[in-house]
Amino acid sequence: MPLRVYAQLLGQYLRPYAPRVLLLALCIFSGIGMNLLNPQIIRYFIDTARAGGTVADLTSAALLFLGIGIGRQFTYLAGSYLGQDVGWRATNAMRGDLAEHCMRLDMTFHHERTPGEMVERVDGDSTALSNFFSEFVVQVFGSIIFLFGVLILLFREDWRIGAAMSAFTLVAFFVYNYTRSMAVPHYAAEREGYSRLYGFLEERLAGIEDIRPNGAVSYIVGRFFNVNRDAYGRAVKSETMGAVLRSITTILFTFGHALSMGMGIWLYGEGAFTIGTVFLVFHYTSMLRMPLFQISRQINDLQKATAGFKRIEALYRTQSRIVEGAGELPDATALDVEFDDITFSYFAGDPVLKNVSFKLQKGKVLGLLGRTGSGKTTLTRLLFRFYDVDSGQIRIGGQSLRDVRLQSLRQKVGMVTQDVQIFNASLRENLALFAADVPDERLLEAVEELGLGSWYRSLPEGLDSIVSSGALSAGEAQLLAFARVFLKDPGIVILDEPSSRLDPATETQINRAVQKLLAGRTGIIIAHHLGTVERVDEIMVLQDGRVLEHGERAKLAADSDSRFARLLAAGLEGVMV
Amino acid sequence: MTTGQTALKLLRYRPGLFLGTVFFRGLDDLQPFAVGLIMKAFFDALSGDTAAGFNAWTLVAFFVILEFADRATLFVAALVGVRWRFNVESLLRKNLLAAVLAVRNPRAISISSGEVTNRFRDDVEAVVRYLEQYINLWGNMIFAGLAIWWMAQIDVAVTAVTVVPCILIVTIVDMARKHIQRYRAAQRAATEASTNFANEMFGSVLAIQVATTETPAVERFRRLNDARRKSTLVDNLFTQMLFSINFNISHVATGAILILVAEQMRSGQFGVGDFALFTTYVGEVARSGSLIGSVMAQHRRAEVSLGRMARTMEREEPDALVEHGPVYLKEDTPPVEAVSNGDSGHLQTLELQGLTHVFANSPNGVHAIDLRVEANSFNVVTGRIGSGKTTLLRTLLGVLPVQQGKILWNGTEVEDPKTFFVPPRCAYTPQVPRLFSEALRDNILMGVPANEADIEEAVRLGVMEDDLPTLENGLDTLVGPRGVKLSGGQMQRTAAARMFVRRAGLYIFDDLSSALDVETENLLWDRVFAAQRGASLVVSHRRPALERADQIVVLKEGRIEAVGTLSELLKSCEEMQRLWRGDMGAEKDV
Repeated sequence: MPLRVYAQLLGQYLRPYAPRVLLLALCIFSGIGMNLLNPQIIRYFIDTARAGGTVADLTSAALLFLGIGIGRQFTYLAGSYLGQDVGWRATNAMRGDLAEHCMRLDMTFHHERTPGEMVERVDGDSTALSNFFSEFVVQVFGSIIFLFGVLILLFREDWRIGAAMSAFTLVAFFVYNYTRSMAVPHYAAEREGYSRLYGFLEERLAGIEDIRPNGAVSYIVGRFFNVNRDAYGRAVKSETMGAVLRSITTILFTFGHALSMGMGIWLYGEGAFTIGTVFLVFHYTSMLRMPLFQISRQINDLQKATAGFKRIEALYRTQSRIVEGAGELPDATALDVEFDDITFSYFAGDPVLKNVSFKLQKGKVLGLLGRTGSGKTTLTRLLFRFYDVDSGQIRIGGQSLRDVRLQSLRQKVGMVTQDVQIFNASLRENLALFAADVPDERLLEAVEELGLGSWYRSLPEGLDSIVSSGALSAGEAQLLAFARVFLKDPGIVILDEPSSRLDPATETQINRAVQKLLAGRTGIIIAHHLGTVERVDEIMVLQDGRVLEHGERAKLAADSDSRFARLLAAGLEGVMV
Repeated sequence: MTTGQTALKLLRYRPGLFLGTVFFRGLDDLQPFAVGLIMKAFFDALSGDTAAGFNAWTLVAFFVILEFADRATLFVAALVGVRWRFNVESLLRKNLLAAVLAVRNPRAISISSGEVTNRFRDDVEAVVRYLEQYINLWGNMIFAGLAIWWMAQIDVAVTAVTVVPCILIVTIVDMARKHIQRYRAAQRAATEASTNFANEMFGSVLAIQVATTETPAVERFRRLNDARRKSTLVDNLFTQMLFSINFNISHVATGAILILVAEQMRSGQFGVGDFALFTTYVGEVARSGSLIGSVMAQHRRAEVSLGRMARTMEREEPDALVEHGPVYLKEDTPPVEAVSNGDSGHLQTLELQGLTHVFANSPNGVHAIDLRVEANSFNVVTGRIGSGKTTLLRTLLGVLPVQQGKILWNGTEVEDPKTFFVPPRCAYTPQVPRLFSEALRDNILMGVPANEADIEEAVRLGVMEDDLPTLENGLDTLVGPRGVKLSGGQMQRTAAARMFVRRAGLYIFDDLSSALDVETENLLWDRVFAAQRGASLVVSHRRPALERADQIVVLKEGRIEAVGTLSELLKSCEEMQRLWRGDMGAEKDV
């Protein structure tokens, strides 16, 4: 990954926090200065003491040393705080932008990915980048400056020690980097093992109600052992590799220390060094370890961040397959719907809808019938342009969907799906789906309109009450979904199996609400229940993606040869057994 | 069981690996003591402060040998340590999993399975990290003792100055430990709020796109992340403060040494070698001292984590969490104890007497349910939304606790429904079944030893046989995470097949038909009746089920409104008439 791309990313997300970043750099650099100064004070102290200097001099050196210790504490804390803060602010901005980008991608994209996977991309990869934002530049530059600082100070003592230690640093740097790059694949394999393990657990935990009453607890625990064993093998391998590498670097520094001791003996013997200087050189040698470690770690983190960053880049590059038009749908209460020879497939070569044509006049309600997999749900999804058709044209209010802005289109079509999504959030947020500009009166109106009024009044905190899917019955959730459509006030209403899982009494109650909702609007109702379609104007029966029958309900019901009439009869047969 | 006792029990789990790790890590912790002696001798030899002794070059060689030996020790420690750690982690995870699967209210879990997964990761890690402190503690304590004793022989006053900071750190961390717990909990709660919401948001893309509220939804995500940033900063600042005090205290102690020895060093009483020894030891002793503080802090964290895990298991105490048992890290998992497919689960009568479960924060629930299910009978529970149908099934199955009343199986009271109502007594299909990312066959079997004929029969009863040819590998098709590769109806029918592959005295269906069309449902009931598998208890409001019922239970607002056959109820029960009429309209027109 070219550095320029990183620089661009850094610039984009760090620019708003420039003053903080500068302050952060200041903290880190003053910390470096203090660290470089420390051994000098001790050398002065030792040599002055041995040369019989005054106690006053010695004491003031000692006090300076103490002062630095305390000062370093504060710069360290401030630096740590600022680094975290900047890192979090920058990655949070990124998480938000990424989430927003993904939320706008088409349904084909979302069908291929589980929510957990999306969270991993948006949150997990951003977290890996957070270190990059908060530390990378400052740490790497800080470490390099520190390293050079130490080497320059060593050269100042004697060119031979400076040269020796520079050579050592160079070797150490390459060994560090080489060994680390050897270890990285093993670390990645270990993480992979853990993520499989937690993925396994997450999925099983979501299915306890299926596992326990069917006596499969010990089976699942047995499966856990297998997944866990795999993670174990990876962890042992990765730890072994890590231990080998740590040994290499430690032994390297053993030689570094031995080198500085040996040079100390030699140069002290020559009279080039005082005993204080030998101490200083040894001290500086120890101090080389930290920046080398940091640089190597940061380079490694950069590799880790690179993997995440590449995925994030790929996500950003993923554009919705749906190319919006610029037009607006007319602002009418009801709109015509027309399917003109529509063929559509999710996967090439396997069409779900085949040459479907029909026209629904505005204000009319169509009942859609057919077996599971006949294409009913797909047909309604196309009205939102969640997918583009293979061939043919869909028109609403006379305008092709391709010519219209998505926002304009989707505001005009409302839908109640079989599975209602309830957020663990306030009732207000659940009704308006987080839109902040819906006045309370309208929300309450929708609640009352649907007969959720008495339920609403039982809530302790009104619209601010937290609702969650666990606390709502399937029917209450269904009614809430209706309220969402009421609030939207669309020109076309789609009810996707609204009666499933509802008992008939509640269904009657909902039917009343449906009538209100459909009044003056165009409607498409999908149902398995014949009762649900009793008040529709037209009936369309789909089979294997084709229109088998379409016409006025009354006429089809009266025609004993029609598929619809036979369906009605099948329902009656059931009753007469 | 206190956290200490819990830790002890865990430490006894793999004593060999634990003691091995303690031994090798301990040797490593003692190494700085030897390094200090060598450094002292080195500077003494160089400066000529002490006449006799080793030559400086020899000492350099000693230094190199010592470091090599230490490295070898650490290498072994790492290999033993990782095995010990993984064993303990595995034990915790296994016990937690088994307990959660056995006792938890699945409804509460499925809402927040991500949150519960954190128990398996973060909380297990917190406990093991706490135990690791005990590995480091011994070597460090011995080192600190030796170092202090040696330094005291050189200069008692200066030694005292190096010990004081240790005590200081211990005190500070000890005073601060309450806050660690609080900040950590707040940080974790904020993180969970953010990731849970992201999960919900990406799980509801369709609804949000339909509502065109992508921006406001993400806005909420941003707000949650900002709260997460703030709580993380507080938590981190606090941890870093304790860490940096620990780190810097040795520096301050060195400063104090400098002040104290200024005079003696001038006079030559305190040599450069002594100084080297002190500066080598003082940092290590301070770190060792701070270890006691960090054991205490980790103790608090482990306590929080253990408490959280215990609550996840619906226990007060973490006893069950640390129960010893095999974790099969090396050997293959032994075959699952076979779910008996015999007829020990034969049902004569099932009686519910006054069964009650009321939700804490909702008016829904079931009250005083009396019900009798006879052998081989077909029983339908019906009622409006929120009338308590699913709650009744869940209370019977022990998914929800029985608050009052009792359950009698063949006349004997059932003590613990959640462990009792399993095959061969009972098999169950929930309202929204969950499948796992495995082969379809494994999803159906889930450990039941069955032959091909059994599977075929179960697939046929679930009306799944026509779906198999359409799947790429038939029964061996991998169904994807949570079964996403199957349609809603296919998932429901797979769950039915999963239930039927189990021989049970009582089959419980919670609205099996919600994803099936009328014809498929009719076929399913036909086959179930023909198979004569035992008694059925079914939640349904569909006519094919109601008409077949030997007994219909009408629920209203959590209470039994009426019990009887369809014709009886249609005469006598107004609620049944209303429920039936809901379906009536279509026929009236014909």
